[in-house]
Amino acid sequence: MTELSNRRDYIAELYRLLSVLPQEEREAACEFYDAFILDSGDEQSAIKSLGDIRDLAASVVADWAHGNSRTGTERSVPPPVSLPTTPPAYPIDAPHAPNMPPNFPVYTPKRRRSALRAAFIAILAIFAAPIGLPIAITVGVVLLAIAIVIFSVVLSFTAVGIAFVPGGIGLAIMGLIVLPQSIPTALFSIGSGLVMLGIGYFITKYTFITARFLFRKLTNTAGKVIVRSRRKHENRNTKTREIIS
Amino acid sequence: MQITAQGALLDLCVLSIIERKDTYGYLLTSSVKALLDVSESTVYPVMRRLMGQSLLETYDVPHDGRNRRYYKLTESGSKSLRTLKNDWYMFRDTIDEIVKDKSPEQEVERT
Repeated sequence: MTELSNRRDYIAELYRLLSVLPQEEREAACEFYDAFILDSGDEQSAIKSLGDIRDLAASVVADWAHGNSRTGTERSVPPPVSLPTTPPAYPIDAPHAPNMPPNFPVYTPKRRRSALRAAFIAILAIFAAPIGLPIAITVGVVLLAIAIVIFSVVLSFTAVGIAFVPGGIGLAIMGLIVLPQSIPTALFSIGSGLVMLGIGYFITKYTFITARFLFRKLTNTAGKVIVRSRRKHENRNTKTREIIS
Repeated sequence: MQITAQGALLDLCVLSIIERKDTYGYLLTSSVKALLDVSESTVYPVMRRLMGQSLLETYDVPHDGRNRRYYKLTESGSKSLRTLKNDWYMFRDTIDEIVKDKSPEQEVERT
């Protein structure tokens, strides 16, 4: 991160990363960290001590989202009981869930919208986390590498098996040619040729069977991985939809 | 250390430090970090939350040709800190009672 070694660039980047926040929150955070770097007296090491700027931004966003989902927009109201960290599971319109204390705060639509926004931002943050995509790419590349390895092994075995076939045939033909000169040599030659032909046939056949089995396994695994990740996405989407509707 | 200051405990620490002396972001962050082994990014959200709950307020003091923003406790900040401190003492005593091998009552029972 050499390009972020000065305060101006660092704060500009932070400002950019905090675009999901309301303007006021965004400026407050940038002001705080700007003053932090200035007051440290050593820009370089202060920036270094703040760590990865994306982690820093994520912690600001996550905490803001968290605080918002907890107390809604009216944050100055002192909470009567310790509030849950997530919106309640019971329907928003229900005055109180049966097992909630009577003074449990009811989520009004206004609060709900802000809690919703917070949840939405939390989901965005999860997606933005630079983990998911690299993992997907890694899994894909590993599967591809395995497929390539299997393919090359199969190819070499097939080549050997196929090479045995003309070899065997050639040997048998040579045996036939030398038949008038020496019957034992001819028989030996023909026999060896046929054995080679047989070996070639079996190598080719079983290579194909094994290859088919391995490829089926591999495609199954790949399919499962894809389906599982897609299902995860769908779950997330339905959850989001549930929250929104 | 496995036991860390989080949530209300962190609030308590930050409020206590500010109660002792009004302070600015960098100094507060570094003192909390020096004492509690938390990362730099931990302190700002706490401050922001405490500000949002009107437990803290700020004032600017000119410094080096710019304004340095100091944090101080509000009325309700002091009140909240008192409550938190009481909670903490009670909590601490309870944990102590559980953790210490011999409580006074046990001593009595044995004799």
